[in-house]
Amino acid sequence: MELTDRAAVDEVLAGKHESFRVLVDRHGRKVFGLAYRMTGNEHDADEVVQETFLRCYKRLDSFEARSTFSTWLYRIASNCALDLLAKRKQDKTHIVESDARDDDANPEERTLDYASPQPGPERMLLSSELRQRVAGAMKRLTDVERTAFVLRHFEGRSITEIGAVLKVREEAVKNTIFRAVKKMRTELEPLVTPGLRGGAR
Amino acid sequence: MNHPSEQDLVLYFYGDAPRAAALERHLAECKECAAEFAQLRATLSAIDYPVPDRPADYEAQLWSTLRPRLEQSEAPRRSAWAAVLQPRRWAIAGALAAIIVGAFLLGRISGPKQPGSTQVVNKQSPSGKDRVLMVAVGDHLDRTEMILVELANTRAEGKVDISAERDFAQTLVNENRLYRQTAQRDKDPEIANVLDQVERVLIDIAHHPDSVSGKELEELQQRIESQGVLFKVRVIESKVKARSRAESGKPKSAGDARL
Repeated sequence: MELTDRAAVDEVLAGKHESFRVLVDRHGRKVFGLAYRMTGNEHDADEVVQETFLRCYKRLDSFEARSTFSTWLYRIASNCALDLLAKRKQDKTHIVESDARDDDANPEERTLDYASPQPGPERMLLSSELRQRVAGAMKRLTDVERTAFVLRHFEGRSITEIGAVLKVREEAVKNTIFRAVKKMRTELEPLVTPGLRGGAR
Repeated sequence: MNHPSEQDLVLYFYGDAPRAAALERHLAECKECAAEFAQLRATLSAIDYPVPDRPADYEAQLWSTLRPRLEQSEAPRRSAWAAVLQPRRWAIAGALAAIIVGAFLLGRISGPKQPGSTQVVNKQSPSGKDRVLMVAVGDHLDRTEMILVELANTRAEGKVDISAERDFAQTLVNENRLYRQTAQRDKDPEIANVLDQVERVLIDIAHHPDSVSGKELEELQQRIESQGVLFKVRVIESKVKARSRAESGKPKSAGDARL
């Protein structure tokens, strides 16, 4: 029978370190997805994935029956991504829209050069212009706004979970998501009309 | 309801609106708001940021890169605290306590009675049942001490999840009540008083939500500290253990068979 996450954690803690692979195999891709959307490029996402599992391994004894393993892992991954973004940008966490383009010249801002995602077959529906606009808009969010937005919009994480990642109250999470959405709307609204994608959600 | 704000509509889109039903009714009636929401929904639904495919052997690659790094780091071990804080073990401990106390009290009621001198008899010639009870109370105080230490050492920052401690405190409250009542019945005021204080602290902990703010935790820590409960628990715990050791040296009574 396949090991549950919790059973795998118990085995690792009991000294069977190879069981950690079960967790890496099961969650590696998902962590990569989160890291990619938060950092905007594959290289940094790979680094975040490595750091996430390393931190997770070292702190495994602090994982208790308080949350599911994936929630706990996501929290670590989000923090790793935030740390990496902070490292890359040093203290410049807030990007003002008007000077965001100037930042492109700064090598430290490399992570914010959000790659326009590669179109897969089902992605062809998205016009390349829209894709670029999304990438541009994501780039102009602050790290905290991007984290909150990615976790809520793409990963479907709850407000409470996001609050735990960002270490802020739920009200603050809601405000952050709203700020992010407003910025995204400003950028994308001209390209989208309700008739185009206005079907039921 | 009034026209919803843009933020209300964003919350509604993500399923986070506190008054979703009222908002939904409003959208069905108000064309203006319905149009605004349709635009918002169209835009948010169009936001995608696809993740590039990973190779089929991604996991194997990841593991081969990770493994040497993991081997270099210190291997994680289950800490003593974590073992103690396993909920199932706590539930079992609580159930055992109830059985021990239950058996003890049953022995009192159904055992041979010497009218007017029950307490005296028990005080002067402690039976094996008392020893078992002392051991059980000692264990209970042990666990209580651990939870108090755990809480005292939790950093009061941001939002702190204390659901595990809260749940264990709930188990301990019931256990504590049994021991306290027994101690009162036995006219053992020293133990009864400490258990009475412990019970109030445990109830305080048990009444907390899953997570608390740093400030709330700090207040709880101060309440525990100001009463000196931890210190009293340690003192009484060592006395109880000394007593149970002393009892164990004495010959067992026939009453042990019931336990």
